[in-house]
Amino acid sequence: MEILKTELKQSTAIAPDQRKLKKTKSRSFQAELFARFSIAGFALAIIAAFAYSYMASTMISRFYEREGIQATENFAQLSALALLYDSGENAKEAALATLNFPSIKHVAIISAENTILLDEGETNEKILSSLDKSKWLDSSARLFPSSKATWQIAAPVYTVFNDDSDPDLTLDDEEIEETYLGYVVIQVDTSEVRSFQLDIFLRNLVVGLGYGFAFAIILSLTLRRLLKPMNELTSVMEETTDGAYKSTDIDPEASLEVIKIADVYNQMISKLAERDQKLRGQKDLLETEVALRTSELVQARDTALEANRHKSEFLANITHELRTPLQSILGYTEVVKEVLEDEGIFNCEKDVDKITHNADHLLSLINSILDISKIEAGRMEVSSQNVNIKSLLDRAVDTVAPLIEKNNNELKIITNDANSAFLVDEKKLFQILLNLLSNAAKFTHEGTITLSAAIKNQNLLIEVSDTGIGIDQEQQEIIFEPFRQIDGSETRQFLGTGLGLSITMHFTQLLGGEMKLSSEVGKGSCFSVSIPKKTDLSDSTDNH
Amino acid sequence: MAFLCLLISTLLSQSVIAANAPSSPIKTTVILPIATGAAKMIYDEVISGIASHPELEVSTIAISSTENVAAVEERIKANESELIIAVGNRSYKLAKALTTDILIIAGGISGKPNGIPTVSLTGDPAPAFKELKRIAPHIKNIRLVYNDEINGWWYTRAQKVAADYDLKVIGYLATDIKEGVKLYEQLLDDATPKTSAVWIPLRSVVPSKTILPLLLEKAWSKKLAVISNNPSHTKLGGFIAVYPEHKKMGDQLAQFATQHFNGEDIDRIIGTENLNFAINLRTSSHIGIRLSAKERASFDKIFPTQR
Repeated sequence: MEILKTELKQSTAIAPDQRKLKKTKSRSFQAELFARFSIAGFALAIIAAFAYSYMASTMISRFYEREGIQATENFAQLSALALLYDSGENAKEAALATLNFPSIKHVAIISAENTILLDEGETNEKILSSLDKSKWLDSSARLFPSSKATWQIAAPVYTVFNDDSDPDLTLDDEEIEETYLGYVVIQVDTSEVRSFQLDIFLRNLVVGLGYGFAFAIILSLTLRRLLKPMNELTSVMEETTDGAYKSTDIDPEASLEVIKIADVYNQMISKLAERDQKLRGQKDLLETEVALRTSELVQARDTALEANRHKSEFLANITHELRTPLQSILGYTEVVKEVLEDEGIFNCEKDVDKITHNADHLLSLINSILDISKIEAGRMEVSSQNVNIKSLLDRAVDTVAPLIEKNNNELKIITNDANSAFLVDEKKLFQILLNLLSNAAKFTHEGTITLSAAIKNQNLLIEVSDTGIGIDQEQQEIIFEPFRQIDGSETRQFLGTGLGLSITMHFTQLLGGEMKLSSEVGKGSCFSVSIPKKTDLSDSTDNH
Repeated sequence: MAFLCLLISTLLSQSVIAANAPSSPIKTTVILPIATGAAKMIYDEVISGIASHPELEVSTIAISSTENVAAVEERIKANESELIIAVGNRSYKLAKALTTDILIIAGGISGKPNGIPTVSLTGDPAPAFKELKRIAPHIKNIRLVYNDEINGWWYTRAQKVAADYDLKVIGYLATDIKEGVKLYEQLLDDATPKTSAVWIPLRSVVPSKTILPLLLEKAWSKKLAVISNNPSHTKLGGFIAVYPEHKKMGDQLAQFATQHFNGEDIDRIIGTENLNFAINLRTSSHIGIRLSAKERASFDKIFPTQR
């Protein structure tokens, strides 16, 4: 039965965890995969676009540079005559032809003496016109540092001697000699290059993004197709969490892992359904047994209550029946005593006193039984009236004074604010005080008993403490039960019915208050009673 | 008496035989550059021309561009050479650096001779003029830009022989490249179609590569005959080219060297007498010279190349 309960607990405990999972994992596996792969795909596409653009830009830049260098070297070859004649006119056609290149905006021929012989075309940048022969390592053109918007490419112009290459002049193996004549310089407008580079970059970016989108679409379709069996399995699992054990149809086209998961899931669901079926059977059985037991218990309780009521009624009736003859005994004993005193027969007085004393004790016992019976039967009535607490305390002290003196105890009374009227059932409060003081007197020898009373916050606080034998913890728990005494053994030292504290507790509760006990064995006990002030004079009956 | 007469006649005949008998050949070292392929063939032709002369006992030293002069001297000494013939400009430069007292003769160089007896690579004007007059008799004057130091000797020689061929050589003396260029411009202005020809020397103060495009263009437009020592110029549009026949040049070189060795009083520099000729028929037609098949056959090279 215990195992069954544990399993039920576990099965019900899973549901909140699942709900928690649902909350924390807000994105599906498919969405997660799609997001990550898409980001990676886009990133790759854009990086590839950037890389390709960079490479293409570099190649274009180099191409334009090579074109510029080639054009400059060609122009240099055609400029020799202009430099030889010291006349730019000789190279004007070549200059115009060079300027026909879309990116070349400015050409110039500068002599070895740095005289500008020809200056065609226009750019915002000043043309290089002060290069000397040392700038040239060979006859190749060079790109000189210039602004971002313009390149300046210059090439030296040499005239070559002894370059008459002909097989029939092999004997003429004179070393080739060059004479430096000057140089040419062209300015290349790089705006076209940059525009081209930007165009390539934008096209690549568009292609890259297009690729990224295409990749995302294909990825989405692929993921949807791949994860369809898993999503179906998840749906089935979600339905299962609602209590309906549902197995899934295994898609033969799904991936091996999904088929395996589905298979394992189906096996698990089958076992769970079987176990659930068993649990339901056990639960039904349990509920039947509980109902049966409850019925028996109710019946037993009702029987017990009935028996208790009968007992109380019997006790009330029997005590009433006992009190009547006992009152007669006491009355007649008093008469006998008075007769004996009148007759002067004093030697029988002690015996008569014993009869009176035992009859009183018996009466007290019967009264106590009557009280407890009334309480248990719910017939104890409460009757409130304005009571002078101080006088009530005095009366109680007077009543128990013989008992206190009997055990050589000292009684201290502390009544600070108790000299005022308090709306309460006087008899019950008196009985409470009497019981507590008599108990203290009974269990204290040659000690001190302190009675304190105060009215605070519409509450009457009474405290009776002693330096008696005290009550251990175990007995403190049962001391308020009827017919219980501190010493319940057959050889007990203290007399009593064991009803005093039980009645005191019931009276306190009837008055709407509460009683507390603090005690330590060998050091004494302290009973605190707190009773609220009644707000009206109406009576009430205990219906417990 | 008869015996005496016989003896005397025998002795006389012996002395005559001794006087007419060839003296021992001149030990000659020919310095030439190390060459391969077509270039080697040309040098071999020159050497064979030199070696064809029995007066010379020829041994050769092939030099690299970084040849050690002292090592060459050692070999010359080992050959007990009496004569050195340097073929080509590189050999000529090395020969000039030799410290020996042996007579040095240069052959096949294009630059200025600098005192060494030389058979120039430039053709002698006489056979060139002869050929020119044969195919273009209407040409009356030949104009050239020259530099005294480089090709003054040729100009002088040309002037000397021109009259023999009813020609006049008009020189434009240039001292530097810029002046030379301007003189070429003047020359072209001065030249008259049909009667004038422009001569491009092998070596000039103006590099032919620089001036050639302009010169050919203007000459074409003025229908002037352009004569050069470089067949490539003819290929590009010149009229005729005059260049040496290598074996015969070797022969001439050997003869020239022998004469100098024997102390004969001859010129310090002469042009190659045995020449080859190249012609551009398109240019020829353009300037109004029509050649018969026989005339064409006399040329060693004809441009444009006929298939």
